Parts: sequence; structure tokens; C-alpha cells
Amino acid sequence: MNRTLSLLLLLIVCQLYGQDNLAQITYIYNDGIRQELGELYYKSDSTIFVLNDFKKKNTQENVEFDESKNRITINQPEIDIAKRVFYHRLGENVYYQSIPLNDLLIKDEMPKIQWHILSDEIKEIGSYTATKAVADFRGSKIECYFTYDIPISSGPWKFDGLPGLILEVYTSDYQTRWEVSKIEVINNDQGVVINFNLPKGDIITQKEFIKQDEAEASQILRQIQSRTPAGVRAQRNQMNRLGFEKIFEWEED
Amino acid sequence: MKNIYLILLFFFITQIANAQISGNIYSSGQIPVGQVIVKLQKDKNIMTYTTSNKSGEYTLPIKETGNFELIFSSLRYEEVVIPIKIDKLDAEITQDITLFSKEIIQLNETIAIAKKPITAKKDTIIYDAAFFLNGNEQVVEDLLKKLPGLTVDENGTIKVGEQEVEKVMIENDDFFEKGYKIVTKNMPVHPIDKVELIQRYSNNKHLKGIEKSEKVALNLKLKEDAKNQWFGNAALGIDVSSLDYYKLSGNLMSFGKKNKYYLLTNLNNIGKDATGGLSHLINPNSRGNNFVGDGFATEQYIHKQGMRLGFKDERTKINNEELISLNAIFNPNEKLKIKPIIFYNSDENTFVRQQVQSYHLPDQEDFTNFEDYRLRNAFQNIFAKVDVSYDFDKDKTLEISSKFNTKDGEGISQINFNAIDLQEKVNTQTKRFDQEMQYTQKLSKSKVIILQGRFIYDENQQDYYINTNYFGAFTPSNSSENVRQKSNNNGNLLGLSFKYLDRKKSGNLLEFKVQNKLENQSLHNLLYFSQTPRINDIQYSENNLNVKSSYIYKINAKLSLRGELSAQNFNLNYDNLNISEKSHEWSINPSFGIDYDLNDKHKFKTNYTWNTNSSPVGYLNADYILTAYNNLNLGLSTPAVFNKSSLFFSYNYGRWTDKLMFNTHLFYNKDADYISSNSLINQDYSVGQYLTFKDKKSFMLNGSLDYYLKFISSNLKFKGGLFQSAYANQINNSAQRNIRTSNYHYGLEFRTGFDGLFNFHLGTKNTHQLMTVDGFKNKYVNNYSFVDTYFNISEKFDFQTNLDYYYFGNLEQNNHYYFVDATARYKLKENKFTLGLQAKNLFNTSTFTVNSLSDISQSVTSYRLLPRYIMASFEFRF
Repeated sequence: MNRTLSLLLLLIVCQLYGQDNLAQITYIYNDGIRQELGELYYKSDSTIFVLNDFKKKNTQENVEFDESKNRITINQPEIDIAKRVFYHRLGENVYYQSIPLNDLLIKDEMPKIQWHILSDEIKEIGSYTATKAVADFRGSKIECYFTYDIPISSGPWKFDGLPGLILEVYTSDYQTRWEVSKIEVINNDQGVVINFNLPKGDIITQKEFIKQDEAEASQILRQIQSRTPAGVRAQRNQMNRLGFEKIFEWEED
Repeated sequence: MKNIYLILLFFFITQIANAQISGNIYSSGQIPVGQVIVKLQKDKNIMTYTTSNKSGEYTLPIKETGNFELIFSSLRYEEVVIPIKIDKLDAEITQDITLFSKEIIQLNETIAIAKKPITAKKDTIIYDAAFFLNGNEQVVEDLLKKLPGLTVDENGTIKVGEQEVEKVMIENDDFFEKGYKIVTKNMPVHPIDKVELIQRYSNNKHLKGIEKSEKVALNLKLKEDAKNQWFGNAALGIDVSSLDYYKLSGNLMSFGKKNKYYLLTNLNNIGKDATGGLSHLINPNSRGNNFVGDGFATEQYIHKQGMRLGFKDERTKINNEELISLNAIFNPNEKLKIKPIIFYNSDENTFVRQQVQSYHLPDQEDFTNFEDYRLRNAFQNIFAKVDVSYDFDKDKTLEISSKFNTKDGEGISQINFNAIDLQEKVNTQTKRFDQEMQYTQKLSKSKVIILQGRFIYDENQQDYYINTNYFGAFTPSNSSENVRQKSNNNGNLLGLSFKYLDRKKSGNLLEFKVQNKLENQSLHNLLYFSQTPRINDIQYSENNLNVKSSYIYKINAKLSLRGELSAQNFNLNYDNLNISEKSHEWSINPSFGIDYDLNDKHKFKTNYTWNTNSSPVGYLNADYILTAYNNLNLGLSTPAVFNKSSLFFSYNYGRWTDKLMFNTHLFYNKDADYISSNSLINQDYSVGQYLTFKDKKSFMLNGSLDYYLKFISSNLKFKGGLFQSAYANQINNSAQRNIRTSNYHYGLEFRTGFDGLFNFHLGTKNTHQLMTVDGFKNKYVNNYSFVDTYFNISEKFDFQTNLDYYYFGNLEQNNHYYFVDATARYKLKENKFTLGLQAKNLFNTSTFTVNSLSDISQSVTSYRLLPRYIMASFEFRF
């Protein structure tokens, strides 16, 4: 894993004129195993968030069976997922996520995040003063730091709704987190063309997608269990959701 | 520095009763502006905030009265601050505003640098334990569960992603390898300072980057001031029905920065191998699997261990084993590591067998032998080892390992052979000293040299006595009534090896090796049928020089070729009394292989090897040697080398997670020369004389197919295999008899993968055995079937039952056998107390009968089994 967490502090001043300026904010995701790069592009009424490729770790599936200890170890290859893009129209509580592999658009109608701003808890992130805010988000207690200095009511991934840009957001146990690594303004002269329009694709709701995705995953677990050799007690682990989303609204009592 | 200009512009205040502040936001051309952040601030505290919608409208609720500032901010427009006074809580204020574009938007590019509880170096991730602990953790496992990226399942298996860790070290030291759970489930968490997750882990640190590795390992770093503390676990089990059976095991350990200690003990009489957990302490993985001189041992002619035919030890081994082991690791300084281990084990076991053997011999009348065999075997074993490793610097390491082992065994058997009672006794003493030395030097990032040296001394003394002389007609007329054999065999080996490894950038690997082995054996055997013994006094020496180079060539990601060429020189000297033979041989041994992964689904592998080996010393006796109470052997008395070629092919389709998975492999072996025998057989005894024949062939084909049935969440498995061999021997000076054996088996299994608390696994397998001797055929069919059920009632409680069924096709009676076992576990307190109940052999079957075929006979053998027992067990941590 190529992890370069400690980066340099740079200072770039971009000058922009006119209406077509864009802010680009780069975040780094980390959950201990995986590190991903996310880029937030902001224009007047919408944002897109581009999640870069998963790193391919094990390319080969590897099944070891230790007969003396009656143990089987399966190292599944990590699946290579192409770029995923989150489309968001500011002010609406809807995120569309595109999965180019199968021309699918996942529509996630999220409840508005009820942030609680802790004005006393302030820290410096880079040259910005950041204020802490906390909230409950889909079964996780989350904490974040945002800055009034950048008046963009947005943030990494599906996080938004604060009176300033979210620079850092993590689960309260610090297991899963997004951290800002770069903030810049780009203009059209730089030849950067960002398409904020939703791509074509079949729309599926987040609820349906999670249902299908998890059904597929537990199918694989059942398959592995059913292929365990004789005499070996197969124990299936609880499928844990990784990341921020642990319990969805529709799963709450 | 931030350059956000504050410019105050227009403001109008109008009051309408609606308990809110609302308004419209425009840009200079009266165009509505959305996404402007509107904050209501009092004394620098944000009271409430909102953002404007697409039409530029905003609304803020009023919650208290006083003097406020209303702030409009947006990336693209200059910020506007308007003082506002709210007199009453039901005030309704309208505040429209026009914003002006910023002339310059300046944003700094920034990266936050903060102290992280997780730091990453190349291939190593370091977790700061203090950050993740909140006080309710007790053992190391509780901490590991909290570390991002690690998962610990309910069995205690630790995984990084989907991959299990290779080992859990403490300050880079390890006793347990894959048995790490003993540490993680028992070691208190408070001495832990940091946890390091090491990726691309290699057992030999200098081979990191040269050897391919996807392994991961954990290293626990202790606090500077951590005190050694003793901890461990114990398990006790007792047969509640009769109190006759028991098991007891315990682990006690203490880990400090410089000294580490580990004690273990294991006692049982339920057929469990007490030393099972020691193999990695005796031969750790880090030693690698190729050390010059591996496999060297002197000959032992009589083996007194109960032979069991394809049946589980835990049913037939009637034992009483005791083991205690002490281990330590000392790190006097950073470069030096000393690792001593000593263990003592003893066993008294009983083995009871009844055999009916029907002989069918050429030109001789058929006859049948009846044998009742009762063996009582006892031994005591002491093993000691010291490993020392010293790092000269980061690229050079010297490792020295010294082993010493002494074992005394006594086997006493009561035999009833064709209604005559016999008594047999054998005492065996073995001693072994083994000194290994390895020097590794990393020349560059991808090149390494390894020098190895080895000295082994091995001694084997055996004293055999039987009260009846069975070799009547064979022995001289003045023969004694009993038979005695004394053998005193010893040998030594001196080995040196030099190896050079070079992993090229392209992934190609070049290996070059020169190795020399000098082996001396002295075998002195006296066999007394009468006052004058039959004597073998063998002095054997062999020098083997081997020069080998191999290359792995990766043509592309899919295809790689392996080529190897070695040249060997054998220098063999054999002396036995007045015989003296010398042999000098050269051989060139090529090997060639191809790996081809067509795509994710199809994988092919093939390999061809040509091997040359010297004849084993045990086949070189010029006079008779006794190997069983009714069997003698006469050897070749000339050393020789034998050539063998083999071909391997395998094909895999699909992966573990695919619906359809198929794999097959094929072996074909051809022995250009091989050792067989001319056996002189009569009802009382047999004498085998070794002979060299040409052309022995064997062929093996195995395959299995898995198909996952999604609609019932179950897997269907087909298995099959075929083994054929063709070789020759002679019986009673007959002409060469051509023997063909052919075994094949096929079976079916079905296992469920249900979500609920119940699962089962069914299977059946048929085995056909066929033997043809010069056209005369003999065959039988056996069946084995099983039903296993699994109940996971809750996270605390589970149980399982196993039913085994055996059927023997050509036994006339008692050809059906059923066995039922059941196990239940209850976790009283996670990682603290576990209760277990295990029932074995519930039908209380006392004997088990199997049949077997050879080229001269058909045998029916019954074994005594461990009776039914119901064992209650208790495991706890302290």
C-alpha cells in the first residue's frame, strides 16, 4: 500500500475572473486497509465528487487448507472498481452515484444531516481555522471540522450542510475518515473540463442497491461455507458494513 | 493569510410579524444567487445558519432577541455583514441583498499535518495502542479488534482484509507462528505500546523483496518500562462416564523486551499427539525448507509402532502421553538473539491387532496365517535446541542452530501366531546431534548470497529378542530356540552449500547453487540364530557434489518458464567384512516447467524432472538382517545410483468464489531402475532378497468438481481419482512376475451454506482396488459415507455431530461399521471460560476390521478401538 500521509504544505494562489470558476478540493480517505483519493468539484449550484480507483491488492485468489489444523484460509482478490462519481445539486438532499461498469446510477435520498456545531472546539488545519461539528449519520457517530473561511456548504463524499467547507470528517472511533489534502481553484483557461451533468444510466435506489449488493456478498459467503472440507466447522462472521454507513434510515425501527 | 474582503453595502430593515429573517439575494444584475451561506452571529458565535436556494431566497428562524450580525458569504461574492437588531421573539424581518463579485478569489492549497495515531512506513503500518484503548480491554485481542484494517473473528483468527496474518511477534520474536491465538487471547494488553502491521513479510529478512511474498505479520512492541508478567491458559477434560480418560494442557508465558519465556504441558490418553503443537518450535518456518543435509538419518531395522490402515489415530491410539516444554528467547542486545528450547515427552501406548492373512503363491498350495498381536510400547524422549542469530549489520546475518535429541524406547509384544504363543522384546536407543549454520548477506536490493554448513551425528542402537525361533528350516541344525539381533548403527554428515539469488527487475529469478555433502555410515548388525551370529559390518561413505542453476523467466504476466540444470557427482564406497565396492557416477539432471494462466479462469501448470539418487544404505546388507519376527532381508551389497523421471500436469478452472470450479492433476513417474525382491515365502517365515529391476511405472490422476447451487445455498462436489502402477518381483525363485495395481475412487459430497443455525454435510465415496499378477486378478470395493450436522445455537453455544459409515465389500461378516461422535461448546465468558462436552464412539464399537490386498495375499485385519467416552472439559485463562 502506498501511503503518503505526511505531505508538504504548499501555497498556490490562483486568480480567477468571471463566472466559470471552479473549486477543486482533494480529500484522502482512510479506513486502515484502504486509502482512496476523492476530488470535490464545486460550481455555483452543484458539486461532483470523484472517487478514484480502488487499489488492486491481491490479484490472485489464494486458498490454503491446513489439514493438520483443520483450517482453511481464503484470500479473496480485491475487486477492481473503476472511478465512481457522486453528483449532487446543492440544496437538495439527493446524491446520484454512477458506477460506470454497469451504467448504473444509484439514487440516494438522504435525510438531512443534523449537525451540532461546537463553536469552542477549534483547530488549525493548514492555514484555516476549523470548527468542530458532530452528528449522527446512518448509524455512525461522526465528527468533523469545517471552516467558515471557505464559504462552500459542502464536503467530501456525501457530507454537506455546514456553513463552510468540511475539511475533515471521521467516525468517532477514528476508524474511517476523510481528510483534506489540497484546495485549489481552477479555471477554464487551464483546460479542465468538468462535466457536472448526470450521465445516462438505469436509476436504482440506494435501498435497492444495498439490498442487491449485500445479497451478492452473502451469497459468496454461503458458497465458501458450503465448500468447506469435511470435518471442518464452518463459522460465518457477521457481515460488517465498512465505512460510515452502518444503519440506513429504512432499517431503523 | 486569508484575503476575504469585507465590504459593507446596502441595507434595509423592514419589520413584518413572522418570527424569522428572510429575504432574497441578488447579484449586481438582479440575478438571484443560490448557495450563499447566511449566518446569524452574536458576539462572534454562530446562532443559526442556512443557505439560499436556487431562486436566491433564504429564511432563518429567530430564537432570541438582541443585537446580531447577519453575514452573507459565498465563494464568488464579496462577503457582506449587516448589523441587525431583534426586539422581540415574534419579529419578522425581511432583508434583501445584492452581492458583488469578488475580483480575485484566492485559495490556499493546504495539507494538514497532525500527529496521527496511525503512521505508515514502507510496508509497515504502526498503530499507537494508547489511542485505541479505552480501558475495558483485557487481552491483546481486544486491542487488535479496535485497530482499523484488522479484523478478529470469533475464533480469534486475525485478518488484514481477507488475508490471515502469518504470525504475531512480540518485539520481533515469535514462539507460535500460526498458533498465535495463544498469545492474542491470553496476553494482557497493558504492556503493549505499539502494534506494527508488516506487509510483504518474509521469514528471512534479507529475502524481503527477492522472495515473492504476499504475507502479512503483526509485531507487538512493548512499553519501555513494561514488567514481565506471567499469564496463560489451561484446559482440563475428564471422562464423566468412567473417569478413565482425561486430557490436560496448559500454557504459561511471560514476555519482556529482553527476555521471553514460554512453558507448555500436555497430557492425555485419548489418542492425541501431545507433541503436535511443537513441530514449529523444532523446525520453525524461518529456517526455510531447504537446508543441506535434510533427510539424513541412520538405518533402524525394526519399527515397533502399530501400523494403522487409513484410520484416525484418535480412534485406535490407546496412549498415555506426557509432555512438558520450556522455551525462551533472550535479546542481550539489538544484534544478538538466543533462543533455547527443551522438552521432555514420554508415552506408553497399547496396540492390539488381529490378522488373518490368506496367501496365494505360484506353484505352491494356498495357506492362511492367523495372528494375534498385542504391543505395549513405551518411550522417553529429550530434545534440546539452541538457536543463536547475530546481525553484523542490516545486510549480514549469521544463524547457528544446535540440536540434541535422545530417545529410549521399549516395545514388548505378545503374539499368538497360528496358535503358538510368542514373546518379543525390542529396546531402541537413538541419539542425534545436529549443528546448522547459515550466513546470509544481502548484496543489493535484489541479490543475496546464502552460505550453509551442517554437521549431523546420528546413532541408532537396537536390541531385539524373541523367545521362539521361527526360521527352523532356514537356520543351521545347531540353532537356538530363540532369536536375537543387536544392531549398532551410526553415521555422520558434513554438508556445505553456497547459494546466490538474483531477482531481476522483470520478475525473473536466477538461482545458482553449489553444494557438497559427505556422508559416512557404519552399520554393525549381529543376528543370532545360534551361537555364531550372522554379521553385517558395513562402512559406507558417499560424497555428493551438486552444481545447480535455475532460472524463472516471466515472458509476460500470463506465462512463465522454469528451467533448471544440475550436475551431480557421486562417489560411493562400500565395505562389509571382506566385500569392498566402489562406484563413481556422474549425472546431469534437467528439469523444466511452464506456468500458464490463460485468464482468471484457466490455469495450467506442467513440470518435467529427471532425478538421480543413490541407493539407501538400508538395502546394502550382504548378510541377513531381521526386520520382523518372521521376516529376514538380504541386501544388494553393491552401492548404485538410480534414475527416475517424472511428469506433472495440472489444470484449474474457476476460483473458489465462482459457481463452477474444477481442478485436476496428473503425475507420471518412471523409475529407470528400482529395488524389488525375490521373496522366499513359506507359512512360518519369509526371506526377502533385494534385486534391481528396470522400468517401474506409476500413474496418478485426480480431479474434483464443485458446483454451487444458488437456489438452495449448497455446494455439490464430485471427486474421483485413479492410481495405477506396474512393477515386477519374484516369489520363491520364480520367473519375473508382472504386477499391476489399479485403484480408483469416486465420490459425491453435498454441503449446505444456510444462514440459520443449522447446516449439514453429506458425503459418500467408493474405492475399488484391483490387483493383477500375471493375469490373475483380485479385487474389492469399499464404501465410506458420512453425515455431519452443525448447530450454531447462539454466539455462545454450538454443537455438532458426526456420523461415519464404513462398508467392506468382501468381508463375509461384520462388514458394516457406524461411528457417532458429538461435540458441544459453551462460552461462559468470552476469552475467559469455555465449557465443552465431547462424546466419542457413542455406539461403543470395540473393534474395526479392514481388508487389504498385496500381490501374494489378502488380509483381514481387526484393530482394537478406544471405547466410548464422554468428556467434560473446562478451559480458562489466568
